[in-house]
Amino acid sequence: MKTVPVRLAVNGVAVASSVEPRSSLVDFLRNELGLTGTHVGCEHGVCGACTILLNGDTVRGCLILAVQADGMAIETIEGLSERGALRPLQAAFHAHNALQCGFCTPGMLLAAAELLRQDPHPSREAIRAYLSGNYCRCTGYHAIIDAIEEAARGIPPKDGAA
Amino acid sequence: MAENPLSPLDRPNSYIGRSVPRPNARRLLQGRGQFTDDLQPPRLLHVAFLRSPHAHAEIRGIDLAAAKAAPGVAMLAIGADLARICRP
Repeated sequence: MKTVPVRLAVNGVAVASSVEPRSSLVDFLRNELGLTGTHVGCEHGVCGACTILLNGDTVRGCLILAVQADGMAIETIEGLSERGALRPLQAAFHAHNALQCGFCTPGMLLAAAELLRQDPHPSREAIRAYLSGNYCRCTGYHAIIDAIEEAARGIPPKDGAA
Repeated sequence: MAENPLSPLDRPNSYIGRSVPRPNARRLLQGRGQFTDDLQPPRLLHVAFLRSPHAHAEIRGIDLAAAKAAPGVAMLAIGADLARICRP
């Protein structure tokens, strides 16, 4: 089958590969690079299990083709964990048992981290709204929201805040 | 006063009344879980289902020649093959 060359940075490592034009980015990350921490749930952009960072923004790995990511920088749960970017959230999720099977967890963590970057002290309603694109089918959302709230409490208030 | 005569010192290993962090949660939180779809056992085969492109049609025949000749095909199964091992 015809393949297209792509060059991209994945978790800070330069990757040069050849992909089928139809291959989604999440399939490329999982099958070609072995980064199976990013999960494939619904395959149509609803469940959020395939959430990754593309040039710093969260995107659905199943809704973007690998060829579209040519020249871009991608970060996954593996890279973010290794460089400690998610440590406070991961600790809070652990303390609150905010996971059961763990399938949705990488996506939850990436979405939560992006929310806290935009709004370091979100309300519970804001957390719920931000997680509306990430489905959990076993543990429920209360513990997840508790954990994100706790992680937010550990963030110092912005300059000028009372 | 003494509602609970036992202190944690009396039962240091008890889970009763305690929040217990799960040991495997740390692995799952780092994307290091091993779900079925993450496994690549040796000699792994994949299955593909071919369904009728017609919503309502009569099957006159199934020509397997091209599929049999395709490289890497380990097995083909049509309705008649499945009818031997299970009922619809």
